[in-house]
Amino acid sequence: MTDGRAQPTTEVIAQVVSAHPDVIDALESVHTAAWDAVDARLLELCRIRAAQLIGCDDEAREVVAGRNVERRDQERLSRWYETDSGFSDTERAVLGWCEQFVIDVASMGPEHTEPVRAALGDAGLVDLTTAMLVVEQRQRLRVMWTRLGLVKEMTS
Amino acid sequence: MINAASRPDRSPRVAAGTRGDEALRRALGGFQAAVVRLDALDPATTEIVRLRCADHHDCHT
Repeated sequence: MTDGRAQPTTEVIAQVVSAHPDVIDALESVHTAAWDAVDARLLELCRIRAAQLIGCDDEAREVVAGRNVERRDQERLSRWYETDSGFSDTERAVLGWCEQFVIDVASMGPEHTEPVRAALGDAGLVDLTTAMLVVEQRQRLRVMWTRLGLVKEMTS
Repeated sequence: MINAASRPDRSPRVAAGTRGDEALRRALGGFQAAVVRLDALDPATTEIVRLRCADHHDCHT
């Protein structure tokens, strides 16, 4: 990394799991399918918020182009629940759901799921759930691999 | 030891028969199959980890 940017998680996975190309292919296939199935802005907001909560700093710092999320969205994401945070009702519902998913999924209640289902529909909630699993597991893997010393974390 | 703060009701949150995106479902199945094929970790340890994760996530399947 010579340009000051963190190594993409896709490259991290390919580096660490290099002995298992079938797993790399499967991880990339499901990652692509997740982003194809869900609104890119909603999933990008969830990706960044999850990274903030999990401590996946390299992903938390990144705003991926083409997903309709601006740097100022990222900067105000940790206070999404404030009425003047600038996020829509749907985005606030999804972010509340996202935080519960990341912090304590077993306690996910109707108060978290129903606002999202009302906004996205039943199938939309199912797809968001599956996509969130894909996005979050990559971050958890990256954090653990970093702690194990298998990959380096950008510190700047 | 981490414990869940509470156990929510288990009522269905989406209509019966709801199916998500087919390509995503297929890809997730492919990933899970690829993981199951890995054999570096012994079966007993794998199962202990799986059960502990299921309990923590309140997953009864």
